Amino acid sequence: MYEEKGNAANNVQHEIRFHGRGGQGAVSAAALLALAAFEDGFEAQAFPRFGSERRGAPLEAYVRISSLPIRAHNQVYSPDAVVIQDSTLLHSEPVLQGLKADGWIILNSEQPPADSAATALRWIVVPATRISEQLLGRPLPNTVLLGALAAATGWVGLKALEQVIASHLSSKGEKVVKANIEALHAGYQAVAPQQEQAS
Amino acid sequence: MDTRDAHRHNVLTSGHRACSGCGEAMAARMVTDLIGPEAIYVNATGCLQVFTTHNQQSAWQAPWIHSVFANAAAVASGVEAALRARGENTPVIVQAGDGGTFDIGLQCLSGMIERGHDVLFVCYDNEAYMNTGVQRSSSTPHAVRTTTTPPGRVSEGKHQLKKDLISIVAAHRMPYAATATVAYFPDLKAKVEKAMSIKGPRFLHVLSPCPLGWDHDAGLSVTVARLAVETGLFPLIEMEYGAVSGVVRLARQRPVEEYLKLQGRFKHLFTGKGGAEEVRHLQALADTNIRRYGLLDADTEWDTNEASQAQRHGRGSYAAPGKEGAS
Amino acid sequence: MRQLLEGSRAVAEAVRLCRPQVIAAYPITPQTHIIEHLAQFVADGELSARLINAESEFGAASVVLGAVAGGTRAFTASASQGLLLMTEVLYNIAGLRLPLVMVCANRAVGAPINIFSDHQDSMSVRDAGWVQLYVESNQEAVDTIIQAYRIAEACELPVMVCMDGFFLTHTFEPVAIPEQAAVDEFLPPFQFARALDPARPMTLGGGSEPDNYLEYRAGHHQAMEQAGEVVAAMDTEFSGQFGRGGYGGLVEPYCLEGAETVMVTLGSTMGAVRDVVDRLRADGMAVGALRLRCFRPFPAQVITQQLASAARIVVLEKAISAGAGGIVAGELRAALYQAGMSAPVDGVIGGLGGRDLTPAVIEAIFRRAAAGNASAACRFADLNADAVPSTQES
Repeated sequence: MYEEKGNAANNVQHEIRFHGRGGQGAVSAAALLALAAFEDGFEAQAFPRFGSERRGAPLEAYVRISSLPIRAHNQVYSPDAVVIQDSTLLHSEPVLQGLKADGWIILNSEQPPADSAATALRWIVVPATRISEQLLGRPLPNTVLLGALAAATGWVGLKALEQVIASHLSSKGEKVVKANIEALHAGYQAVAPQQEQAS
Repeated sequence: MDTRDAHRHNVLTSGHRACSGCGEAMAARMVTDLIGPEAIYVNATGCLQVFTTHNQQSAWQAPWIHSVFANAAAVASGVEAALRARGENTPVIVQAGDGGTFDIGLQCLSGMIERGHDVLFVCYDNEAYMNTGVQRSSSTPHAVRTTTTPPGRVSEGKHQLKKDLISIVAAHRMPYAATATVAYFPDLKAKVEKAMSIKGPRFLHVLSPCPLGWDHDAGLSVTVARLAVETGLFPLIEMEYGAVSGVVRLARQRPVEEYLKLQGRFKHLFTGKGGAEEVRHLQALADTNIRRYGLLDADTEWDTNEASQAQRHGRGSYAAPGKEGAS
Repeated sequence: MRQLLEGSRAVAEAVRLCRPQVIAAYPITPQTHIIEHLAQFVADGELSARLINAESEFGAASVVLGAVAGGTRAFTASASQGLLLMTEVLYNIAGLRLPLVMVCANRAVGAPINIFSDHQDSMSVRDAGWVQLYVESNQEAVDTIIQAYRIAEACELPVMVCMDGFFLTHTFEPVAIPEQAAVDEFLPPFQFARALDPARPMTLGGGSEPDNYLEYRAGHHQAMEQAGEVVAAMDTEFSGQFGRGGYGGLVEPYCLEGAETVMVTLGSTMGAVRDVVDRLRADGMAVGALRLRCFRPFPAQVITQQLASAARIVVLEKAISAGAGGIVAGELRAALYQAGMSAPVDGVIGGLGGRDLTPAVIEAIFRRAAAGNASAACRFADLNADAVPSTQES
C-alpha cells in the first residue's frame, strides 16, 4: 500500500470528504458545497465514490476548493475536513482516515463521541437530523451540516450557499427553499456557540 | 449449511446488500428456498447479482454463476446440456431481472425455450433498470417516471405499454409459464412446485416491487405488490403449451388509483393536467386484463383472499408437501 | 460563462448543441447520466430529437447506424460490457464509413465485473476503424464532442470520444458551455452524400471478395491517417473561434523542455501527472509529460518528434493485452523503432478497474524511471503482490 503524502505542491487549498448513506444526499451536499465555492469565485470540484444504486449503502463524496485550477481527479486522501452525515458510520467505516492533524469533523449527532475530546481534531457536533426534522419535516441533514461547515471553517460563504440551495431546490417550490435556508442558518448558528467555547 | 430454521435452506443467506424492502430479495429468497441448494443457479447481471456478490463476497449457499447481461439463458442452456450429458438431473435455474428477460436477454431466452432446454427461468420484475439508476425497460408500465422516461413539458412518462412478455414466452408453446408475486406466497409456492415437477423449459414472472425505483415506503413492498394484483394490472395466471390453464380470481377489484397513489413514480399523474388521462389509460389496461383473463368470474381453486392467508388454511409454508398445516 | 456542472451534464449539453435528430442508448454505468439528461431535454421540448431506449447496446449501435444511413446526425454512448456488445456493429459503422459520434465512458471490462474506470473497453475496439480521442477534462469533453462531429462529417469516419468513467462523468467541475449560435457557426447542418434516398438510390453494405477487399481496407486506413490532420485542424479552428481550448490537436506536451524522463499517458490521469511534474521539476528533476489525445489514428510522427530529446520514456496506461502487456507501450515502441530512436521505454500498467493513480504513485513511477534502471517491458503500478491470485495450487 502507498501513503498519500499531502498536497502541498498541488495548489489545492481545501479538501473535504463527505460520508453518508445512499439516500441521505451526501452526493448532493458535496455538489452544493462545490457550487457555493464556485459562486464565491473559487475553482471547485465535487464527485462521489459509490457503486450501484442502493439505499442505505455507505458512500463517500469529495470536494476540492482552490484558488487555482484543479487538474487532478483523484480521490481525497488527506481531507482538511470530513462531514459525517450518519453517526453510525463512525463505527463501521474509516471516516477519519487521512484527516489532517488539525482537521475539522462536522458530525451529525446529538452528542460527541466519548473519545473526541482527547484528540487535537476539531469536532463540530450538530444534531442535524433533529433540526432538519423540525424545520423540513424530514430527516435530511444536508443543509444543516453545510451551514455548520461554513460557520466552522469559513471556507464558503453563507450567501453563496443560500443562492445555490435556492436554485438547486427551485423546482420544489418556495416553501421548500425557505425551509432549507432556515435549516442552513440553523446549522450555521448551532456552530457559533461551540466556536466561542473553543476560543 | 444454515440451520437456523428447519424449513428454510437460506440458499440466499443473510449479509447481502439489498435495499431495505427490496421485493427482488424477498422473491429470490422465496423461490430459491422452495427449490433448495441442490440446483445450479445462473444469474444475469442486475440488482440480484450485484447485491449478492459484491466485491469478493457471496451470499449464495448453492452453486451459482454470473456471466454477462444478455446471456443467462444461453449459459444455462450450456450448463443443462453438460449436466444431462453427464447423466445428472440437477435442476438448472436462471435468475434475471426484467432487463435481462424482456430486453437484452430476450434473444437468449427465446433460444433456450425454442430448443427445449430443461431449465426454469425466473424473472424478478421490478419494472426498470434499477441497479444502474432507474432507467426504463420494456417492462416498465405505461406512464411511469423513470430517468429515461422523465415527465416534462411534453411528456407524461413512459409512452409505451408494459410488454406482454408472458404471452411471448407462452407463444413458444412451452410446458409451463406463470406469473406470481411476493404478496401471494401460497400462490408462488404452488407455481414453483408445479414448475419444478415438469421437464423442459419453464418460466416464472415474479413481480418484485422496488422501494427505490417505484418510490414508495420500504415497508410497503408487499402491500404494493398486492395492489398490483388486486387492481388487475398484474394478473396472476398460468399458461401451458400456449393456452391459459389457470388464473387467480380477484376477490374484489380495486381502482388503479389505490395502487398508483402509493408510488412516487406515478406522482406526476396527480399534479399536472395530462395526468388524469393517463390514469384513465391505466384503468382501461387493468379492465382489459380482467376481461381478457376473466379475473373476476373465473372458476378457480382460490382467489386473492385465500391466496394470501397462508396461516389459516395451512398452505404455503416452506415445509415439504405433505407437511402442510404442520407449521 | 463558466458553470459548475457534472461531466455527464456537460456532455449532454454539448450533444444537444450539435443538434442530433436521433439518439439511441442502453443504460450502463457510468454513462447513464448522459442519457438521462438528454432524455429530460427531449421530455421538456428543449431538444427535438427522437430518443430511442434500445433493447441492448447491440440494438442501440444498430439504431444509430440506421439513423446516419437514413440521413440524420445521431449520437450514442456506452462503456465496458456495452461497448463490447456493440463491437460487431462498430466495425460495421466504420466499414460503411458512416459519420457518427459516440462517447465511451471508459470503464473496466469483466470478468470480474467492475463498474469503475479504465481504458480496457475502448482499447479493445481500437482496430474497429473509428477515430479515437481521449479527453482529460470535462471542458475538453464538451469541446471535443463538437469538434468530433466536424471530423466525422468531413472524413466520413465515426469518432469515439473517450472520457474516464466517474473521474470525469460524475465529477462536477467548471465548464463553459458554448452558445447555440456559435456551435451552429462551427458545425453546419448534417449532410451525407450516401444517405438512403429513393431519389438517389444506393446500396450500402454489399458484399466484397478477395479481389477488392484489400483495396477497400487500404483506403480506410489511408482515410484514418489523413483524419489525423483533420483532428489537429479542427482543434485549432475551434480554439480560434471559441477563444479557449487548443488541446494540442493530436498530442499535448507538458514541460518537455529539457525533460530527460518523459511520461506518456492518456485521459484524466494527465491532471495528476501535471501536478507531479511541477513538484518534481521544482525539486530539480528533469521530467515532463506527453498526453496522447488522439489514439486512432496513432500519431506516430508527432509523438516521435515530441519525444526526440527524451532520454527515457515511461508509458502509464490503463489497459492491458493479457499475455503481451501494455497496448500504448507496444505501439509507442514500434513508432520509436520505426523512427530509428532507441530511448528505453518503461511500460507501466496502472489504474485498472478504477484503482486511483494518485500523485504518490505517479511520482514513484517517475522516480523509478528516472533512476535509469533497466526499463520494464511491462510492470504494474501500485500492485499488492500478496493479493495476486496464484495459478499454482498449493
